[in-house]
Amino acid sequence: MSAKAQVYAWAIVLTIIGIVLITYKNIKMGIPLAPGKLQNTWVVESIIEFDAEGGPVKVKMTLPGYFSNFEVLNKYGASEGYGYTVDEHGDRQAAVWSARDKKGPQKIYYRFSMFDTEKKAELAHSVPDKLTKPHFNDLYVKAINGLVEASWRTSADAKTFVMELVKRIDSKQPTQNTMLVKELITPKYPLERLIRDMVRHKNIHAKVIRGLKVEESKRKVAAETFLSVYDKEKWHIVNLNTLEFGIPNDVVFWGPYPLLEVEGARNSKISFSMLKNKESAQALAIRNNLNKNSTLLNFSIYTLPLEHQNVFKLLLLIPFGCLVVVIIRNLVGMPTSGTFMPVLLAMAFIETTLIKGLIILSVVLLLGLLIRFYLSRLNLLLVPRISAVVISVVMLMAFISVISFKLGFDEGISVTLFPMIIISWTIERVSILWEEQGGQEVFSQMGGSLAVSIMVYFVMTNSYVQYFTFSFPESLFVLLALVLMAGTYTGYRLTELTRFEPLVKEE
Amino acid sequence: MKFASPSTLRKQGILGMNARNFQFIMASNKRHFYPRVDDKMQTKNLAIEAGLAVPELICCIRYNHQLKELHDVLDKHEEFVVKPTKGCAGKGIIVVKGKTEEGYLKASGTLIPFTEMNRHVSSILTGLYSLGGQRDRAMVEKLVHFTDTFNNFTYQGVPDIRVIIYKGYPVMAMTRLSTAVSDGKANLHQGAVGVGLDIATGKAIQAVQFNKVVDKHPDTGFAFDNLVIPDWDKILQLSAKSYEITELGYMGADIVLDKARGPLILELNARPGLSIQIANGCGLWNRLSLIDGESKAKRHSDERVAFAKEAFGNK
Repeated sequence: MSAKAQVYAWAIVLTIIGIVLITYKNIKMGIPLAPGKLQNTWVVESIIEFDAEGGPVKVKMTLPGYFSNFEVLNKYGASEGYGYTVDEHGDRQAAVWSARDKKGPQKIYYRFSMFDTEKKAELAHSVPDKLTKPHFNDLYVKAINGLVEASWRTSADAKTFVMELVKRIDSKQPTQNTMLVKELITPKYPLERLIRDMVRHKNIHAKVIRGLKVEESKRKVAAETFLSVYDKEKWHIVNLNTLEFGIPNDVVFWGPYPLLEVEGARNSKISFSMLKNKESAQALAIRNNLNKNSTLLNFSIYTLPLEHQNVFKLLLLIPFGCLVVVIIRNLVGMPTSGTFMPVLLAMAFIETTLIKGLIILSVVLLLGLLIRFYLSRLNLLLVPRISAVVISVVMLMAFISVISFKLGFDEGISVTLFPMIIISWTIERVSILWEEQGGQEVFSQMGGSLAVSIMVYFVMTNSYVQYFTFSFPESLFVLLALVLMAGTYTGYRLTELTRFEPLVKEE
Repeated sequence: MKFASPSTLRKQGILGMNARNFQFIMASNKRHFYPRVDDKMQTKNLAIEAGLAVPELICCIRYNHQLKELHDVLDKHEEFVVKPTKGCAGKGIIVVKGKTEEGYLKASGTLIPFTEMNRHVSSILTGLYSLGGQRDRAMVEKLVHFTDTFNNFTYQGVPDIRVIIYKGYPVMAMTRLSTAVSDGKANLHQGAVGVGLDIATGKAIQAVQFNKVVDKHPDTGFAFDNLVIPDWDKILQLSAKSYEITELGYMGADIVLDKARGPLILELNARPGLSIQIANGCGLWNRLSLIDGESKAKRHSDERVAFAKEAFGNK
């Protein structure tokens, strides 16, 4: 295969690999192609407080995620001084903390984050098990019967039946039956259980579930109680406080299990604090897929620590800078001094922002040139001379940083990220260019390089480019294919169309 | 600014940079032959071996400690040129035309103190002017005494003749004449005049400054119609034969005319520029394709020159 055919073959293979991976990540993992809108994410912190009695302690908390609009992303439950395990039993997931010897007030935190899938949650319409009829104390059976029958008569279905029951119990003018029934309510046997048992008394399946309403920046709220009623072969959810039916959008549910079980402690209670965040859909999709153990992502840069990821965010932009340089030099035909100097300068500009970067660069170049002109009169050998320029440049940078900091611009500090060796060589070459070709040539060459750096800067800071390179590092395959193709381009450069225009003869 | 369409340029056989690099330089210049032209010392030695005329070498400096002897050697010479062996685009060249107590005198009359000359040479050695900053040597040559041919056609500067040689065939030639605008420099984009030369005769075809055809030199006022390069056949012979010493398929030869010795190869270039097309008002591509068809048979340099004169001469 000829060299050119190989290039085309590689270009095609690389493009296909790149596009297939991008499409896969886009469709299967839901990473959107464009930055798009931000999605709501929530960080919820459960705080479990109790007084340990001095012996072994075991705390079991049911984990959320029974069903809701929300998908849980991260969970973090380790607590100092406690052994931590996650207990899975059927559809019940629970966090279990245990300790051998605890005394006095204790606090355990369980943090999880979740995001709004914006899909309507669906109840699993599992057929309920055999109903166990509740057993009431003989004293109350008559009253219960009366209340249930009265509610039954004035209702049409399970929904309205529950409403009638709650209404009667909450009534301002309670009947004698109601008064009697209300006596049953104790902290151990709260209202929701009473209602559940009254519904069950009428041979209707019902269970109490817990739900947490997510609201912006709430602190120390308690979980709310809901009743799930089985009617016409479907489960229905009712909020016992508001008597609203249906699955609310903003509630995350626990299953029909006790929220908290504590052994070896008293006065246990659980409360929740939450914080709302905005996160991009891409970040969410990546995190969500990482949790699901996707192989493609498990060997990707997203598994690196956050600070390393940030380095890659910048590194992944370099190929785009190179592409711009390739286009400018081989397709447009603009000369730059030093092939990839524009990319390095653009990276420095990203740190300093463009205008400040340009000012700093010109100041450093100007002062550096002055120093270089003086050094040239000292008859130094080349490497020591350039080293002297490097040292002077470093000192200049330090000086500029301090001065700009004192003047109140923080950006002065990021100056240090300028590629100093490159700048020193630039100073050296510029000064020679100046001596041999004159100042005008210096300005035209430096101007060209700066113009290209600015172009590269705009490409590299383009939010879409930044988003895309980081979300789809696979795009590098396509980029490589493009650069390979550009390497075989033998057509005219844009500047040559004007340069050789005078050669065109009329026929 | 006017744009030509790529198809028109292609139809007229004008060679672009990408096509030059890809189809001609990369295809016919083997990488390992590059040092033969990138290192002027090697070029010179190869040329002397092959009996091609080059400017005479005074000495070659490789190490800093040789600097001590430099001035003793140079003591015997009034006029000489110091240049880096791996320099490009004429960078780092100093032309000395005289001497005083303190130092050397440049062509322009400026004084270069002895210490300054030492610094310059050691800069050359460290690779300041070489491609990629690699270590370099400095060579000192005897000054070429130019013929009077160009006296009326140039403002300062040293005109040389550039010949493009493809597979041993001289395909196109020009000379670059400096002007006041170009500040004595021979770069066309800085305002020097490029004069296309007839391959058959060495007569000027046309002259171009800033991409526009000019009839006479902007400073001296002499019409280019009268410009004929002497020893033209020798120049063609020299160019054609330089292919044998470098084996580079596509290259440029820079040839100067010495009053006493005639044409001398100043240097060879593996990546000659494309502005020669502008000076000639003619594209290179068709000529190169013609050679591609012709060069299958191995021919002697005389035959190649004869072929080129016949094929590319101005009719």
